[in-house]
Amino acid sequence: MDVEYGSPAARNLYRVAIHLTLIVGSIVFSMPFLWMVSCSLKEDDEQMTEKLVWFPRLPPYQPRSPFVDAREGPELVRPEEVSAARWARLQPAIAEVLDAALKTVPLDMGATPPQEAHALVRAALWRDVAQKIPSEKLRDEAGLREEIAQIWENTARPYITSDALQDEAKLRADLAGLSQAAARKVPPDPFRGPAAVSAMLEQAWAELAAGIPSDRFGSEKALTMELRSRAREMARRIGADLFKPEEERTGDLSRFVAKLATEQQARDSHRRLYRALAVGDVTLRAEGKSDVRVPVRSGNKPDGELIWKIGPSSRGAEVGLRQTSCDNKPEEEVRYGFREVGERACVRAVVPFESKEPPKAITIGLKSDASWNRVWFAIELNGKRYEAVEPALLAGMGKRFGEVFYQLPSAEDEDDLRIRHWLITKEVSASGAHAQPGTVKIELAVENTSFATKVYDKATYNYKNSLRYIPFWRYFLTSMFLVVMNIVLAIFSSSLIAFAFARLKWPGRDLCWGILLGTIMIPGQVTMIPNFLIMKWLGWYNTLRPMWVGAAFGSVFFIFMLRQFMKNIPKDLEDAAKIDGCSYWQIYWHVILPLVKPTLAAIGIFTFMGVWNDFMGPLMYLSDQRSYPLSLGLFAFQTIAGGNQGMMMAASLMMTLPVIALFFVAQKQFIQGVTFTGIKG
Amino acid sequence: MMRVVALSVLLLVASCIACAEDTVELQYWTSPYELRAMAEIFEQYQRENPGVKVVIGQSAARNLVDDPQRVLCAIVGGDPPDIIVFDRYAVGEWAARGAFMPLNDEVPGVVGPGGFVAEDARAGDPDAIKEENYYKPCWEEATYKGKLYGIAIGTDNRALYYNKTMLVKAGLVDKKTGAARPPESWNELREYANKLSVFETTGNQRKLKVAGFVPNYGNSWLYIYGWQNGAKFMSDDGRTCLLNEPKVVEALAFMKSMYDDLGGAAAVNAFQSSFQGGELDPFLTGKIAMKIDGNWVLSGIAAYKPDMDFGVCPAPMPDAGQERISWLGGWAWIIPKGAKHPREAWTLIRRLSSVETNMHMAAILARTEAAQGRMYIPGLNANRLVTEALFNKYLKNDPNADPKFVNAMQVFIDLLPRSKYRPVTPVGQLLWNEHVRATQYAILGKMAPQEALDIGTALVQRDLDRVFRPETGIEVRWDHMVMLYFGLLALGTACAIVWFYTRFKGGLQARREAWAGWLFASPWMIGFICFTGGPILCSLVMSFCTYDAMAPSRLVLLRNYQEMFTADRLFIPSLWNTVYMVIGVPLGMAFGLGVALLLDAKVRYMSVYRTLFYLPSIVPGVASALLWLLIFNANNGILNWALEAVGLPRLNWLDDEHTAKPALILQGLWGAGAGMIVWLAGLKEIPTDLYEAAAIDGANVFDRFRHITIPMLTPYIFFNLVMGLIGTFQIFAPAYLMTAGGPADSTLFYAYNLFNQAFRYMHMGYASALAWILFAVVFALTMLQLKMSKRWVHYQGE
Repeated sequence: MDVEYGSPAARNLYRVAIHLTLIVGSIVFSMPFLWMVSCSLKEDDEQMTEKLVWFPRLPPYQPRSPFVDAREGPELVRPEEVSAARWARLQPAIAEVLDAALKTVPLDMGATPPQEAHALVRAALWRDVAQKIPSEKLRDEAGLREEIAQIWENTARPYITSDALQDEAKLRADLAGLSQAAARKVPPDPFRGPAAVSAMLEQAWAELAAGIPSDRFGSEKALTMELRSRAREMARRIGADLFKPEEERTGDLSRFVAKLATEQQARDSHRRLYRALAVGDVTLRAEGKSDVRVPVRSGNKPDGELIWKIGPSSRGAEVGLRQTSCDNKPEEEVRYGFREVGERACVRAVVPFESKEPPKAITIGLKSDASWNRVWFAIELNGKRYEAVEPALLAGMGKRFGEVFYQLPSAEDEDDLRIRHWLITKEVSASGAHAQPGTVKIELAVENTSFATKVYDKATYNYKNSLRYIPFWRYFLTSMFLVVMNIVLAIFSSSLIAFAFARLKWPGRDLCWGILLGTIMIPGQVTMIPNFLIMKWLGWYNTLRPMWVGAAFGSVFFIFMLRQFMKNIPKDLEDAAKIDGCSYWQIYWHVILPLVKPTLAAIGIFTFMGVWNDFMGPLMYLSDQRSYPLSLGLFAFQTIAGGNQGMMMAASLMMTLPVIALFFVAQKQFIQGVTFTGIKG
Repeated sequence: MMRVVALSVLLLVASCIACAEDTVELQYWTSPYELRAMAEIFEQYQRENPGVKVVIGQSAARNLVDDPQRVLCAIVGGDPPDIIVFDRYAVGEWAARGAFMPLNDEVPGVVGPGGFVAEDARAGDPDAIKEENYYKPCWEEATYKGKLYGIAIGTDNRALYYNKTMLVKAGLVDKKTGAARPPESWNELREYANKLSVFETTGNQRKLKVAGFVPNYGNSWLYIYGWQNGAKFMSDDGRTCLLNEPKVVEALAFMKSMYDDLGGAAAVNAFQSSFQGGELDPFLTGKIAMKIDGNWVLSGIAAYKPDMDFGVCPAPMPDAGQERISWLGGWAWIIPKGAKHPREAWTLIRRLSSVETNMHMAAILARTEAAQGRMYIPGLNANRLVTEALFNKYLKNDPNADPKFVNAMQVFIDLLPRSKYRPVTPVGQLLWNEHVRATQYAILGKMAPQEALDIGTALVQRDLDRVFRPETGIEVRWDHMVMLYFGLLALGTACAIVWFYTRFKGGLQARREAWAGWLFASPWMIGFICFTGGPILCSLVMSFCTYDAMAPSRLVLLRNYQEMFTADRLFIPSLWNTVYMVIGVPLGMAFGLGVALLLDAKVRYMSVYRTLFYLPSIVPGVASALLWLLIFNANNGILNWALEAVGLPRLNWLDDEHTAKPALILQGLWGAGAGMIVWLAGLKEIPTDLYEAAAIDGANVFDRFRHITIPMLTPYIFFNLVMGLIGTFQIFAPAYLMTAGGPADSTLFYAYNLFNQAFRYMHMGYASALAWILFAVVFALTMLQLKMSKRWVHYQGE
């Protein structure tokens, strides 16, 4: 407020304090927004993680593929059931067993150094195996006692209901009767004499049920608590000598792990981490025809010829093809290695296609290696070459087989509001393109991009996809149209009306002013239904008119603001104009309007934000998706792709940017234009 | 300015031209599933029927049935789509309202006696839709009072999925074979659930990590437990609602006890809030060991984790050995009344429902799945021939089909004849919602099951009684009302003119000025008369009537107002919820003023700071709702992260009825930047000489704030207070976009309740009455503030 007073030192101190507070405040206030930015940069599997992650993952730099994914880490993870003390003893034994199991299985580690790859696969194998080990084999003695106590508790708890509590004697008998069933559930494995343990527990539990004091039968909770503590106590009484010694149990477990770590399991676990680019079937569709699928092995026979061949690649690039299969389906794995950024490795296929015109839609089976390299697509036929205008990205988690879709632009695209999941392909000039009749040549080229490009590609991934998936620009234009109409009409009509209320005297003015202010209090819901019926009667349902015509009748809030501003303008100006022979219209247009410009600017900004974000109006009045504005388009997209947080956030962010820019540029006018001095009643 | 106008006119013209079409455009509204396969089918249909174009709309509603506002608007608006894919259980209710076209009955001007169905039969069309081909429950579900209103599409039913690996790990196995053994009775299910659940304990907070079984996760609902227990929900004659019969109460008590085992429903909701779909589905990732869910889940498993070791069996019954049952649902094609091309719509429906088309579509889907190395799992179809053909082709007779999927599908198909379906009743929507609400109240422990169900039953019964005893009040003719309104207005205007020419005192100048004033104010007057005054009176009249937007409205006098206080259980809570949010007004004002003071300092880069502070209030409503759901997420939201970072316990925010409202207030505070504009404008107006004078007098910063800033700002304080209160009483968006009023109605705000009454239950008359009470409350409050303002608001220059 008052930097002008005080000593220079105090002033500096004051400035620093203000800046610090402002910076802290800015961080707090922009936190949700930053989170939105962060989410828009993440892939699906990064969105809902167990622990909150602020920074999106960076893409790996992988100039050589296949490779073993290092994201899960090389350490053997301790299962929850194992206590830390026991794990220290178990871990070496388990590592030994797993090493032995992996030694017998030849596994492809691709470009990853063998030592590192082995540790990664071993960790994955342990993760998978540990899931299947019954928990009693993993727990230590204390854990086992707890588990046994819970067996009794779990068995008994469903029988403790408010109804059952009415009849104490019967419930007691029921509980005692359960002891046999419960005792049978005690796992035999950790004990020397399981039968003895079982018999002992059966008797103990039966007695336990009988021994509960009557006052515990008051409520479900009290009885459950009592049961729990007694069951624990009972479990504690199992003699330590009844348990197998630790060495024996470790041996048992090692043998069990060896049994689970089969060759098949090792292959499965390896496959989970193995990242490779693979190409598969090609599907072509001619205009007005059905899809024709060309399987990766001609004729789909086991000995059929593979369709993909190595194509012309950059000099430094190595490229190889290998026949593999994924999920029981043959595919061809593309092995590549690059030295320099920008090198390309190319594979191509010549497949039959009976048409002079290029296929309308092309679908290629493709498994990503999650390397974030780029893949360029081209198709040639009849001496013409068509190329995709943008690359497909080797994104995703890289575990499953997917598809990429390509289409030539068509007239339908404009009208079609289906989610556009395909990449656009366009004709390019090329000499010597494939011209063999009845066939097409398809080319896929992997480009080795620099780390910086990969970061850029990953950062823009959700943005590019959402621009492609939703008719963003169509919605955007509709929104702009509504904004322009509303701003023009609101500024014009509100100032006109405010002029009448602020500067002119006419019978009924004060009454009308009272009514006008009163309408602020009317909830929108009161007039919502009748207004809908009026619009319907006017034939305006499913047009944009209900969203902008209203602005022509002025808005109470703006009229109010303008009236206050106009009231402050000295009367002399107007009188002078009158003497010059100006009409009221001329006074309004030439004298008053130029003076209220700041308020008009504020109205413009308020209107922009209101209309831009309004979605209730369009939701009620529009049924045809082609005339949606951005707000409703976004809502519609959310109903379809609600699961895809990253894309939703990217689309929302793009929708927000114009408003942020507007506010940043026009905030001065905005603040100046709002004024309420002289408010009275 | 002229250029802007010209541009907008141009845009307008362009948009009109784009709308002109000469082909028949069939509007088809559907949920977006399987659209890719449909595209090819539609293309084929268009080739066979030149001049017809199918336009697919996704209709932008999260659920057309739960949230039927758009369907209603389209039908009442007179421009409905030609075909809507509609949830089958709600077909009867909308048919009762007269919203749909009967398909087996004469429609004058469209189709002769017997409707489309008979016409096709007479013509001997090979694709004719025949009742005998359909599963009986599916056909009956779309039939109301003997008339067929929808053609059933797919169907689905429910069974228990269990993760065999997890069962084996927990020792829940058959002692002889060592294989996982699914639970067979309710008690066993509960025992299994407790055994399989895993908790993580930090301090004295217990957080669910793995849930053995969550009664209402997946697709089970109270309905399945009720039916299993022998309940009927609706009497055979359809006149009595049996939602609160003892068998349902028992079922609900069972559900509650399972939730209590897991640490209460709020904790479970928090656990569920971070669930994702696809590959990260909690059942696939082992976060849930068992669930009751529909047959469609099989496709998800086949797509994302085909090697998962799982089993499917009929859901456990109250006692082992009882005959296992399930319930089915599904979708239906309906043709709304007023559709422009019903005949073309029917041919498309007939086409889509044929065995041939379904096999064709399945082939496309199978091909797509195969290209991605996945197994195609066909769904269940209401048409028995289709279901059997699909099952035989893709599962039973396919040597490559994975037997665990074949067996699972067999379980679902075997259950079909023994499946129940939701009662076809004109109050189906209310019955469904009340059953959901009662479940929520009971599992959260807000009410005893009996009490929660009693309340729901009473509400359903009231509406049911009204259907069977139609209103007899005088019919209100809206056209008469409009004529009366404009007649009175004309009379008033005439009087005013007469008065003006005979009694107006003033010279020529004053007369000219009066005419100019009227002329300049006329846009507002016209707008007020047509779009505010008229609608207000209309809604006032409506508040004394019944009105469902389709049937004529009838006068019921004060009944709507009376019911508000006697029969509407949600009226008082919704009012209370709204009043509670008023806490946010002074908080937001104080916060906004503090921020404005800070942003009023004269330092560099202020425009950047201001923009940053303003950010939260710029983000569009839809986006910000989504964003805040992420922020409030109890498992991994930023708020809990921040709480944990400073050593405070985590909260369940929107999943807990106690913290939901404070959470929304907090969200509002973050948007305090919006109010900052007004505060900044106010601060700018305080003359600096006042501060200078005070500084010379030796007043410190606080004195100056207390004695200059605050008094000078009182008009702004007053303005913000009035507008803030009015805004708070109309609060709607957070409930609509984020919480749907939950949990346990703790964020059911007044305006949201009103909206639901109007657009979900079609109680437009009652909703109008609610709106008027809201108006009365706001009016009284504003008047009170105006009165009190005289004591404390200080106007400059006075």
